[in-house]
Amino acid sequence: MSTNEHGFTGRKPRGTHPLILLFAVFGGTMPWTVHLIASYSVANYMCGNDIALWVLHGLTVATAALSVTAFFTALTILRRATRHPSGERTPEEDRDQFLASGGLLLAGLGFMAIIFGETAVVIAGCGP
Amino acid sequence: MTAPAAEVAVSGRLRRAWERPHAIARALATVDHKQIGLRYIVTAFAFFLIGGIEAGLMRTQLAVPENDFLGPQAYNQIFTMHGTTMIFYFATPMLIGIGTYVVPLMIGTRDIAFPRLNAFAYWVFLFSGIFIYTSFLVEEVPDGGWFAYVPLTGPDYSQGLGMDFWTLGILFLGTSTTAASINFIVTILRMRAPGMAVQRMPLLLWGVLDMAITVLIALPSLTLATLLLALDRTVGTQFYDPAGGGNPLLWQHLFWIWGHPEVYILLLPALGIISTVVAVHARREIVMYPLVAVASIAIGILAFGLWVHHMFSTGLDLLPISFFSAASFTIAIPSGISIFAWIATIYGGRVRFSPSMMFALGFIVTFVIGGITGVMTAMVPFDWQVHDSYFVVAHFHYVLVGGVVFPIFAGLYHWYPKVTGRMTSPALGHAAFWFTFLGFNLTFFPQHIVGMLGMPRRVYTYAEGLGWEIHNLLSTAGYVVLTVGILVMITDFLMSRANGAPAGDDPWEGDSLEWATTSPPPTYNFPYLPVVHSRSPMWDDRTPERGGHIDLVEDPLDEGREVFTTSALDATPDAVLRMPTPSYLPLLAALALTAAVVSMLVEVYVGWVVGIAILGLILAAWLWTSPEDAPQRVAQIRERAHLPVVQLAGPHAPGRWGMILFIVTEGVLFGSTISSYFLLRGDAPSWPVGEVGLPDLVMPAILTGLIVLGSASMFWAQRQVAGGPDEPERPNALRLGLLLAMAFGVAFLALQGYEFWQADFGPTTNAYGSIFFLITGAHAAHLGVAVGMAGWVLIRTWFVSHEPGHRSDIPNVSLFWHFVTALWFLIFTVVYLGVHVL
Repeated sequence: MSTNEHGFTGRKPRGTHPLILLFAVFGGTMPWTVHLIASYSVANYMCGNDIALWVLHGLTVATAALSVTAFFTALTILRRATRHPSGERTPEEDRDQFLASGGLLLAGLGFMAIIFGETAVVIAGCGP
Repeated sequence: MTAPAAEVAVSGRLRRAWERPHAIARALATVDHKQIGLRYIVTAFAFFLIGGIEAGLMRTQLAVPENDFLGPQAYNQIFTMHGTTMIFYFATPMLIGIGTYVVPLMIGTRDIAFPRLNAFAYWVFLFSGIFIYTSFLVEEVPDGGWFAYVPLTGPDYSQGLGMDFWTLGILFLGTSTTAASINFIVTILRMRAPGMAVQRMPLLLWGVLDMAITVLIALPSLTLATLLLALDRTVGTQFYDPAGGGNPLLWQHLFWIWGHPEVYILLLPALGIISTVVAVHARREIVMYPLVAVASIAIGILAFGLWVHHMFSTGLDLLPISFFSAASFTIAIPSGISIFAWIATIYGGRVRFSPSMMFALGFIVTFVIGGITGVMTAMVPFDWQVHDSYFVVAHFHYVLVGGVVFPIFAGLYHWYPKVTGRMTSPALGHAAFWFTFLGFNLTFFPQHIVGMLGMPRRVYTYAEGLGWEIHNLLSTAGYVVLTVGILVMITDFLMSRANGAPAGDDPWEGDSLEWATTSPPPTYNFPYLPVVHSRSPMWDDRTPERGGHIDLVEDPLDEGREVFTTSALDATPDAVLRMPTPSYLPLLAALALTAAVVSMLVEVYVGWVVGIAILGLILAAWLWTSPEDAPQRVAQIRERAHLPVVQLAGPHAPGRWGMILFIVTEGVLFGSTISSYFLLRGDAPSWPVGEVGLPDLVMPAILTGLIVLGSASMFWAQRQVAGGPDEPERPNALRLGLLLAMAFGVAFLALQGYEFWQADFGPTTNAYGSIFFLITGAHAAHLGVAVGMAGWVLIRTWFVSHEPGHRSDIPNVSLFWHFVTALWFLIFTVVYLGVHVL
């Protein structure tokens, strides 16, 4: 595929698949959103029920696991995008590096926020 | 071609294509983003001065105890209008104005994605501001606070038109803010200069983009809250009335789901301004660029998880509020990343202490203080102690004045030379900064202390001997000093406009593309569109050894108002877009909407119907733009600009993106409505409330069948549109599909009208009736719009070119229709089936 003098080509970029990139970037914070809203609803309407506490713990495990997966996805993309020294990378690799760096931060924040929420469950409790 | 854009010869054709209209048309029909941006800035600044005068009235009243300068009612009105003005009519529009002016220049294009929508948004903002301030003329001033808590603002405790002005004014303004946000998102994602991939976007663009996305997701909640309040006040619905099964806390949830992100809606572009100013005036790139950009995204996301921290003292259980306390701590992390990045940039830079840099430094100090007190109030026990005290007033002024107003001032000083072609006076600029900075801290720092001493906010006076006198006196003195600072700044701007030294194209040696053109920029912004290869294209130009230079697209794109659209991630050119010319239609549309809003206020509902009908006709005329039929032109650009994939904008034109974003914000609006349904239901002793029976399922099942048939007809109609040279359009089949869709839609509306008529309850019976009719009625209104749109494209089939791949109207209408169908499935599941099953 030919490249013109501005460096643009007619082909699609060869970087990471957009859906995988999307998961790497937002896969860490979206579970936090789910955790927050679901935990808030459970705490509001189910606390007092025997299973409420276990539902809350289960939410934490599931959403934290997703955040960790997003973190490692971002890490994998980052490693692949930085195989070559800076200056020898393709524009797609530069883009992947940038987005994966962001994904690492967002996934870390999402995981931390989920754990903060779980800490509230452990300290404040939600028993019958 | 590698010469700086400003030095390149300009073709006469380009000048003529972008020529501004003269006289009256120039004033009323312009769609130039620079003119509209300036109007936003000047209008918002006027509102800032009005809000500032209101602040002065309050500080005068509170300067000494037991003062009778303002009575309690006048004080209520003034603090309500102060907050409303500063949040809705100054801060947000000012940032929109700066973005409207700067963003197209910074991304190297010639206008914003939807220039007429941009003009419409400005007119609506202006008329909304005039509308709400008309309340002073008729002595019906809003007095329930800018947060408008119910039941205080409900029909029982706020009689008269005051809060009607507020609710309708805010609903009205929401149209403008939503339009501006859609414009920013599409402009930034689809019109960046070739080569400006996401990893090279200036940080201001990240801030504005995040702001716009946050607006689209957060604002529907405020729209819904104010709509429900307006209905409670005018129609007699019972959304917020506990006696009818309503819930006053619903207001607080809806208001703060918007209200907390609103703080970040203001902060995000402000942080972008600071990143721009710090980089240019420290003369180095921002340290940790990727983290600062992503911190901006993180703040935008986390902002949605904090709303309950405004409701810690409402009696919610401890565990639910603890989740929001935890989330409130988390948001300090991305904010801290940005702060450290700016400090590191300044530390390693060669700092130019210009007035804009001084305001940026002042911002860092005050924002850190505001952030620390924010973390303090995120702690539930502390918040219980200081809630509704002057400590909170001090906190949010440190965040909003320190965090938003200072960056705005930094931005005004930074871009003043670009806008006017003149430099400001450094001496006056520094004087303005020091008066403002010292005056601000003198005004608000003592309020932390007086709040801790127990002074509640929103009181019009206080007794002697409580130990609050000196703090209040200092605050009032600080207000005077702050006012001097603002007056010095205005003087500086006015004097420099006439007598300032010529600025040249790039007085600050800036890094981004707005400095690549003349000051002030020509109507077309750039004679040849730039191509970029790095994050700081202007600095590459000066330091070629770093491997870069400003490159220019060889074709001047001068056969009409032409610009490129580029791909969202990598900014690869993919189409040529023809931008619209000046038009009176945006102004007329805003006037029609104003007439409808005023009719609502005075309860002349015929006027409302007429206003909306006229608005619909104007929009139909506005959108009646034939697709450009110029394949030769595309071939020419391909050859001359060496861009192999470029094509004429068709189904993937910005209009498609605009429709998708509109659907997103409408989807969030319905999501908020469904959430409100669950909140009301969760707190009700029985559901449906009172004597109302379970909903019938037969009629909704028939309605479901009709709307699915309508959607299928629309899908079939869309399949008849030409897709390529071997796939010609079948106009008769297309028309038949559209007619069938309309027929099914009309049948749905007729049967639903019958269902409403047969119901043994109404919207005012109780909260169940209110929310039932709201959800189903709003859906019916959307379907009505979809039918109207289908009729509009049906008429167009006789007039518009059928060039393959060039029709974007039918795919857009079809997408909206399917969205309305999907909404119905949600409504059917929740409102009909859900009552029987759950």
